Amino acid sequence: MSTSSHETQSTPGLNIVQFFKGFWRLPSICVARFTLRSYIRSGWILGDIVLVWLLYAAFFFQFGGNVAYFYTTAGQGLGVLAILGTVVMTQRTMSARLYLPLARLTSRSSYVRGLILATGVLRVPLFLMLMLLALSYHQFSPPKCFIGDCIEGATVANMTIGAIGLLVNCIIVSTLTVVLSVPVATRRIQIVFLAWLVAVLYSNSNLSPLAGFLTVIRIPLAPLAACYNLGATGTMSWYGLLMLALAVGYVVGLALLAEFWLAQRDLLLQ
Amino acid sequence: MPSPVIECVELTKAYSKRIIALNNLTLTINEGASFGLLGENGAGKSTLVRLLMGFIFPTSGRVSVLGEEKVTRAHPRIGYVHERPIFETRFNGRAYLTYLGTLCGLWGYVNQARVDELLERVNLYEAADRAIGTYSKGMLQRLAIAQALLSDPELLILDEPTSGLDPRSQWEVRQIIAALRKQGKTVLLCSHYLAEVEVLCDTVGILRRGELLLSGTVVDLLHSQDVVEIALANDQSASNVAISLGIGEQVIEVRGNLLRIPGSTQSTVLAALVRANIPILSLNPLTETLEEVYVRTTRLAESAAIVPSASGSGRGSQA
Repeated sequence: MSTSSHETQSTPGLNIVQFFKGFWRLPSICVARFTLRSYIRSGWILGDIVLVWLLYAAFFFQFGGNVAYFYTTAGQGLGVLAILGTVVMTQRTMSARLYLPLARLTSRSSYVRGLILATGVLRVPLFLMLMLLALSYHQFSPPKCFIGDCIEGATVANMTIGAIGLLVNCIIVSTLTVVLSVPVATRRIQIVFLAWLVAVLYSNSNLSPLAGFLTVIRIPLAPLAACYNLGATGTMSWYGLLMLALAVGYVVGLALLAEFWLAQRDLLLQ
Repeated sequence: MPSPVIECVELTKAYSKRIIALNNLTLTINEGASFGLLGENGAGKSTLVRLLMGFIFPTSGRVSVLGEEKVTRAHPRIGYVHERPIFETRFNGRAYLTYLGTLCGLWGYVNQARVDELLERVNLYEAADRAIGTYSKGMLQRLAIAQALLSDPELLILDEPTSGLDPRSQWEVRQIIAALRKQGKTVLLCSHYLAEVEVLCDTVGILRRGELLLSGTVVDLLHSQDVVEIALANDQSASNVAISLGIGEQVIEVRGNLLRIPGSTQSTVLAALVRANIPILSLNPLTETLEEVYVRTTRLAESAAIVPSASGSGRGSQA
């Protein structure tokens, strides 16, 4: 009697273990883990670490800003870092060395999913490093904090909300970088994206009627802007939550797009 | 009746309007066969392999591997060796094989045991914990073969597995392939080395400029000329004998005491020799080497390609 109740009690635990085992063994998770290990062993991770240090030294060493300053500056810096790191990681993996792992997989989707996961996951420790650097030198919140020597107004809540917004934006950027890399995207797709980007920048920095008309094309950037504002305001409204969900949807959508495009490409890798 | 493992029907791959890598290729490789694909650089061998692996897609035609038209679905049952296998050089051989093993669905102890077994099999066990970057070319090729065998595949696609290796390494790789053949694996071997294909394969195809010029069993191809060589005893002059017996029309070639005749005229010529009491030392069907077959076939194709263009230019000049 007691044995059977013991067994029934242990089943959910076992199921959870089985679930995580199954998840850990998914081909895309294996690819992501190996891609990260390869990136770290290749030494490129040192480049990321140095850039984070530089970001810290340039913008936060003589820190006098508040939470908004921290997140807006860190968001832009880590965004650029996301592009650079992802370009390196993608170029390393999307070479002729891709053939052997691909020959073991029944679809290319697992591979591209793993790559997107690896680039996305890497954003988390890099952000944490930057935040810890900033916090280690400056106090976290009053009363220990003195103006000009801390992240002004920082609380666990607004720092967490800002971190979520920043990380989601960085992950969107890294995913987009994978989507736009060769061989996933063609030259034509890259040119179309660049043209769109130019139009967005033009509409944002001009007051001409054409620029006003072109503001329509900035609509897709609304979730990114909302995530950016999470850090700037440190608060989460219903609109912010909705946009955050939409931003997560962007990541999923972009990953699916990358899978779809890569599945159609002739892989003539060097 | 062996089932087809690889089926290509009117397969064409054009990289651009000008570059047609494969042109209307129809090919079937049956289960258990060892098929050697011969051809010069740019003949379309690697393109065919990429199509079979699903790395690229046909412009037209159909390809099926192990019954799967979406060929990537057959990957777990295929062992693939790329023409220039590129590994993660900072990992050691064991770690890299373990990673590829996980992609095959092998985990934990099963994966480790399989990796160890294969490292032993390709004679890399001692070097298993060394960084791949320190491996010689021969070791890399053996590692490539080991990874191809991880899932115990039914079909092996080997794209120039001995290319650029020293003789000893070539021999070692050939021994591994020969052992796999004995196990009954279906093998598609692309190679420049004709002697290697002659030894390792039972069926051969010759590819040139994307077209399959010739395909058949090695035995048939080597005897495809159907020529019989008769050696006359006592060093008799073959040309004199041919003239005196009036069999000159049936003779292809005479050389010293050797008469070369078509297989179809063998009985007529033999009868004439017996009637004239001319002693015979030996009678053998004449075989070519695969190299001779290859050169003959490609030369024929070249001359066939030159003739229309020459006549074309002739017409042009007449016009």
